[in-house]
Formats: sequence, C-alpha cells, structure tokens
Amino acid sequence: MNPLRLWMRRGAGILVPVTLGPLLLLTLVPGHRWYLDADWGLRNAAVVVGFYTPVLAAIAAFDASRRLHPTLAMVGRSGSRGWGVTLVPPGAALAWTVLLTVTAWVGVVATAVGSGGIAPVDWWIAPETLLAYAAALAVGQWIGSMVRGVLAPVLAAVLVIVATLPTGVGVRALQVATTTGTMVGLDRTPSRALVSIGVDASILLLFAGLTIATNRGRARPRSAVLAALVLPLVITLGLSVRSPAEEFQPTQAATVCVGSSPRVCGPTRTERLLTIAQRDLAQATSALAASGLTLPSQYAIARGDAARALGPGITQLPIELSSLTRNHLPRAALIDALAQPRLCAALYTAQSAEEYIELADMVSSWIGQQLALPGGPTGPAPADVQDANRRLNECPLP
Amino acid sequence: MIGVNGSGKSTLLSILAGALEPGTGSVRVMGLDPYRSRQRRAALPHIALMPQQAAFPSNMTIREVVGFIGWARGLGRNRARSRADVVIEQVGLSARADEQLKRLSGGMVRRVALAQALVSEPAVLLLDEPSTGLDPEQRRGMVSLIRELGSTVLFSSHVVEDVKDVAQRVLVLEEGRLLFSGTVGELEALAAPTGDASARAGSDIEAGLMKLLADERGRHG
Repeated sequence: MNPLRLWMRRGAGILVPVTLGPLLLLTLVPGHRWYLDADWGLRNAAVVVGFYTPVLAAIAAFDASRRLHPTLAMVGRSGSRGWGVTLVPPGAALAWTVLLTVTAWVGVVATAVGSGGIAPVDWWIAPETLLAYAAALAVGQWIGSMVRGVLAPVLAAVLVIVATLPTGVGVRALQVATTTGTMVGLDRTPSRALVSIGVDASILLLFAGLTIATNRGRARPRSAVLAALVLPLVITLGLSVRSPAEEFQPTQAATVCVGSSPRVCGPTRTERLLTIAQRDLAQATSALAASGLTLPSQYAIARGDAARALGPGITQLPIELSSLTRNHLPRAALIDALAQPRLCAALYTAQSAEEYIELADMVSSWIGQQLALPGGPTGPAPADVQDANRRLNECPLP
Repeated sequence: MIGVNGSGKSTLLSILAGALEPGTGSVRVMGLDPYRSRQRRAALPHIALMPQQAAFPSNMTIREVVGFIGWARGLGRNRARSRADVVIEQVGLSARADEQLKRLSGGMVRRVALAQALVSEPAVLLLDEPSTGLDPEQRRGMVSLIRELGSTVLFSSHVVEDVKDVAQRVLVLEEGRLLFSGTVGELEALAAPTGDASARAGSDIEAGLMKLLADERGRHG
C-alpha cells in the first residue's frame, strides 16, 4: 500500500491527467513553431500554468474539504506520522502534475534536439513552474481545511485567480513568464526569475504553515509563527516591485561567428543554425552582386537593447532561427535581412518610422522579385531602390 | 464515559488521542503527555481513536482506508497492509474488503471506523459512541467485540446498557467537569437514597446518573 499511489488513484488529483494533459497538448502541438528551439517550447508550455493553478487549488481544496476532513485530518493530528499525512492528497495531485509537465518538457526537448534544433539553457523554467503549482496546491489545501463543502474548491480557484491578476507592478504570483517567439538571443532575467521563485515559495510556505497549524488543532498559528510565515512574502513582494520590468534580457552567452562573406554571429549553441543562415545569405548576396546595392557584410542575432547597440557595420538577423524550414531561412526573413542593413533611430519614433519602413519595403520588394526570377537577378537596381538602400545604410543609429 | 450532549465527552477523547491540544491543563496517557514533542512520539503509537462521525473517502475500499490509516498511525507499508487484513477480518468485513465505502451500510462503516482504530494495535483505544447508529444486533456485536479486545478501552456512550455490559469503571462528565469516577456498582448505589421511582424505572445506572446531574444542577442554581 503506497499512500501516494493510493491518493493518485483515489484523490481528486486523478483529474490532472485528463485536464492538464489535453491543455499541454493544445498549447504545444498546433503549429508547433518552437520545434527547433527547446527554450521557446518550454516557455510556450508555461502558458498552461496561468490556466491551471486555479484548477490545482480547487483540486486540493476539494480533497481537503471532502475527503480529509474531518476523519483523516483527525487521524493525521493524532497519528505517529503527524500532519504530514494531510499533505499526501495534494502531494498526489502534485505528483500527477509533475509527471505530465516533465513528460511535456521531455517531449519538447526531444523534438527540438531530434530536429537538429537548440537544446534548452533556460533552467529557471523548472523551479518557476513547479513552485507555482505547489503554491497553488498549498492555497487550495488551506482553504479546504477551513471551509467545508462545494464552496471550498470554488473559493480556492477564485482566490488564486485574484492572486494572479496583473497589477502592473512586480511579478505575477503563481504565474510563469511565457513567450510566443523564439528565445534565441534572450535569457530569462535572473533577478526577475529569483523574485518570482521567491514569491511563489513564500506563498507555499505561508499556506503550508497555515494548513499545518490548522491540522495541529489550532485555529491559527501563534503570532510569532504567523509573522515568520508572512514575512518572506512581504519581503519578496517588496523585492518584486523593485525587480527589473523585463522578463527576458539580451543573452549574456558567448557568441560564435560563421563564414566570411557575410559573417553571421550568434550564441555559440546556435552554430549549426547560423551555418544554414550564412549559406543562404551568402548565396543571395552573391546573386545580387551586380545590383549596385550595399548589402550587409556581417549579421548578428541580437534582441532588445543588444539590437540597438549593434552599431554600424553589423546587421540584425531579424529572424526566428526556429522558423528555419527544410534547412533554409524563410524567404521573408532572408529578404528582410538583406534589405535592412541597420536599425535606424527613426524606426523607434512613430513620426519618422513610416518613412523608413517604406524605404525598406521598396528595397525588399525589389530584392524579392529579383531572387524569384528563374535565371536569378538580372542587373543593377533602379535608381530609386539604390537611393533607398543608400539612405537605409546611412541613417542615424539609436 | 457518560454524560449528556455537550458535556465534553468527544472533546476529552480527542484531547486524549492527541488530536486536540487543550487550552489549559495537561493530559497523561500511559504516563506520557501527547502534547510534549518527545513524549508525543512515544505516546501516539499506543493510542487510537474511533471518532463518533467517521467520514472516510467514500470512493476508497475498506482495505485502502484501513491500510492508509495504519500507515498514518506509523506502520510501515507492508505492515499496514497485513494489519488491515487482520482487523478487517476481526470486525467481520473480510468478504467486502475490496468494496468502496459508498456501497456499505451505516453499520458497516461504523465497523470500518473500529477497524481503523484497531489497525495499529493500540494499548489504549478511545471509542466515541461506538454503538451510535447500530441496530440492536449490530450493537451486541460491537459490544462483544469491545469486550474481546486486549486493549484498555475508554468509550463514551449514551446507551446505558453498553456501560453495564462492558465498563469496569464509569466516568460521568457534565459541562467539561468530572462529576463521578467509580465502578458501575458505585454509580448504581448513588440512586438508592433518592427513592426516585421514575428514574429507577429505567435502570440503576440511569438513576445514579440522574441523581448526579440533579445534585450538580442544584448546586449551580
């Protein structure tokens, strides 16, 4: 008789595989654009956390309210194993959650690595996700210890939903930072991740402590204990308000450059994908040699502030490497890279951006037409295209 | 242990079981205080409580519930399983051991409640109204089972016959105070001087109880 397995079968946690499993599949499978970038896939899967923490809280509240109380909770209080017994049902729900989440993670990593993509480096995702789930279960367990009947799961879910509402400042409790685009060139902001972990760990500590106090036969813990439970949450919420606003920051990872004409640079772990990009860019550059356009000689993967800081002579590779299809850059990404040699300062102000976007559109549409010709580009670009190309190469930098 | 509703019987049993910390005073079971951490560890394996209203997860089988509680009371997994089989047999539910509790009658669930209390082989067994909700035949079965147990049994009851059939010593509680502690004979003897024919029509125990309560209420206006 394994208590955890017993509750995995008999507790409300049995709902986890039939609810979380489909949610993860719905998030990951349709149009799985992340398939060459494991970190993107993992952060994409984390979208589920926001939907699922209220469900987990309700599950824990139901078990605590309907199955543990009053008899098994009493046995927990008076048995040799103590209050730890009452943690078995939420432990079973957490075990199901971890099992499914880790299975999804393994699937994402296997898909990305198996497709020749990029292995994960964003390990923050594991403690962030698991602590958010554990904290939600702790909230539900406490509500279920205090409230009887069907009200308990409803109240637990509502409380978690309210706790996760965006406030505009600090981190969102019981939530994990997600992305709908590639993580290449980005890292999780460590201080932000630490604060997020701290807030969820504090919520876990607070509500687990309250539950233990309740299950020990006290209506509420002694004042000193209560203060010790609340203090970490107050501190971490305070730190949260002062944490950086951005969930992700330009990567600090070492870079590698491939090829020479053009050179293509990016994080070391993307070298194989950079090689593909370099080959396609080199072919296109060579084909356009007679166009009279000044085409970039060096590209780099750079995101956010790092892109603004590239300086002259280095062009941002404006692609999601994860969108490489059949070992080629998508045509749109290739053309954009060739047509926009630098991030002009004008692009960052609404009034002047339109002009530069029109210039870039003019150049990219001509390049697109030329590259689509059966025999390849035929000759020099028209004067207006050449002029647009010149202006784009000479525009002031941010 | 007898007393009217609200006299504190269930509360006292919960306190003795280590399940409800007393606000004031102290408690000793087998010379150990279940609310002092070191003594608690030594005391709890020897104590088990059968609660008055046992609400187990109805989707679990008898074997699962008793086995889980055996584990909760400190038995190893294998020991909990084997002891569950023994006590389920003892309460006469072996044939239905793998049935979910939602399929059992109220009387059977009371026997499951007794089985879970027995599973850890406690030296002190605390039974809160063990015959509540049982028909006369089931009550007789429960009483004979209690008499066969080797443990020290402290049980609360409203049924005077239970006391007469089982108890060697009787405690009477009223509003949390102990009014009487003695043998059944001593309690019966309290009724003699009153000559209260209406009370004595029930039983001598009941008459003794009525006398105690009347005296106590007289003292407190």
